Amino acid sequence: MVVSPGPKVSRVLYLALLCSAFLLPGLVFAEETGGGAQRTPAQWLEEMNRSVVHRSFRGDFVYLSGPYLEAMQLRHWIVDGRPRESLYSLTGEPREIVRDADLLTITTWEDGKPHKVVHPSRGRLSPLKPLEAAMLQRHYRLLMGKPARIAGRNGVVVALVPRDDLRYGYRLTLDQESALPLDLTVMDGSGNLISRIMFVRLQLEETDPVSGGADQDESGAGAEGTVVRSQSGARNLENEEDPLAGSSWTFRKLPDGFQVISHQHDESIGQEHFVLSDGLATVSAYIEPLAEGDRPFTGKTSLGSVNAYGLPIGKYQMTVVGEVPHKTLSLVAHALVRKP
Amino acid sequence: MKREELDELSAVIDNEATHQVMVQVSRRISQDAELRGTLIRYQMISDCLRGEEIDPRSEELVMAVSRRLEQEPTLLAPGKGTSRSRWVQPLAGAAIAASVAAAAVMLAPQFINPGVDGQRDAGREEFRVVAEPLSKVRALPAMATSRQEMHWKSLEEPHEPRLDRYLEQHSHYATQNGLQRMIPYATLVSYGGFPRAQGE
Repeated sequence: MVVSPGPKVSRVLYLALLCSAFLLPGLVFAEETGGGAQRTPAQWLEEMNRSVVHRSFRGDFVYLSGPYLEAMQLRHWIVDGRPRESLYSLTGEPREIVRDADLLTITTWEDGKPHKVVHPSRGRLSPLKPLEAAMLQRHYRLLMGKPARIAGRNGVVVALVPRDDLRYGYRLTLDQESALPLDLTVMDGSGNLISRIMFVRLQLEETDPVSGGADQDESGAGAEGTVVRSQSGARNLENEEDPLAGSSWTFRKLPDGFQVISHQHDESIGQEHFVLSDGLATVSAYIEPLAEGDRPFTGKTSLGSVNAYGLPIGKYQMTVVGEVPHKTLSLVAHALVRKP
Repeated sequence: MKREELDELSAVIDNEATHQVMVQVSRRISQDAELRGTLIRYQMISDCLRGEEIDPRSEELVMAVSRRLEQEPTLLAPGKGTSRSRWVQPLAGAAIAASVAAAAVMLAPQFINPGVDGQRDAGREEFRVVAEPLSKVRALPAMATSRQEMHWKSLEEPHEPRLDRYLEQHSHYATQNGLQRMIPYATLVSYGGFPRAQGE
């Protein structure tokens, strides 16, 4: 074995040993108690969770997923104490989603006229589920990174490194002032970029209790057009202790760390929707009867960073959707069985 | 751990080791958990000293390259006048800039965080290497700025409406924490394949 530790190696070794004595405990400490700005990574995530709901802000960001690059405008504001949010595409055909706790309005433009579809909001914009640090740390390593500057604002970097190949890794840059996310990079276990959302402009706003809809002037949503109101037959079967209580289906063995957190049943089409989470990543599993002549969807597909996996189960179609690896979706799909 | 081993690790991390030492260290890394842990910690320290961001992939890449080097030692035989490899340097990059291959690996938890979850994860496969020749590594296309319509990959048309509906519903429910909330909606708006309301 030939090692010729020249002056530089010795210096590096010295530095490394010095770091072992001082920085390494510091890194471990940073993982546990946060380093920069005296917050732990978990505390930064909690602060972010609060900010994205309770802060009023607007900003422009770019969204990169595979070969697709889009620019969008996000506005989040509080109306009568309740959060409202709009997402408007700045590239390609204009599209907009405005949502609050009750309604989801999707607007597209045809021949310059807005076409709106209003859905009842089946999910909850608020309150957000708290991020449970202990649960997260079972499946991710939480690390602080070096400070970064995004959209002209100073940010802190929090890395969530997955402990297995059932979930993606995340690198978050949070605004130092507000803890709002400035940059969110999602990577798979092989280091491939799955998606990236990066703000190029972020403006914090005072909470405006009077403000109405989203940038109607910018989007043209106020112009004459059509409005369609859809009715959903989905019932949210809330049972926190056993979300599967109202279902005739159950899961045998879910991927490590994932559990069912909610269940909806749309009796009009016989569809059941199970939402699973590991505390961070979310997966939706759907089961519904196949109609006469329907060809079942088998195998995998993806759209941007969203993956989907289909599996026919008897006369039913099982489909699992989420921002997790296909392996995880497949495990979820194969875990579903009829209750005895 | 011997002083000599520490010297070698430092040399490898600082891009000062010969190919021979790199191959030797790489072989030992794959067999010695303590050495692996030390290398990963040293690399983090090194990143820290360089002022680089901690990259979620860095630990995996250390192992991947180590494994790859071990598998292909003959390709690493130092040629005359060959400059020192930079195989540990581009940890935060999209691919390894070594002459041989790019490699990536999924580490089992005991590698990523030895001593923390070792008991829980005992018996798992140590690691899985996913390696491809450099020529197959797909960099982000330079044409990323060109406008392309998003679509479900390899999906037969009859299934699209159903998946559009699922995506829209999933977007509602995948927003229950602040980290994930924007991704599905950004995908939905980007895609534009909004499901039509009943009766339309």
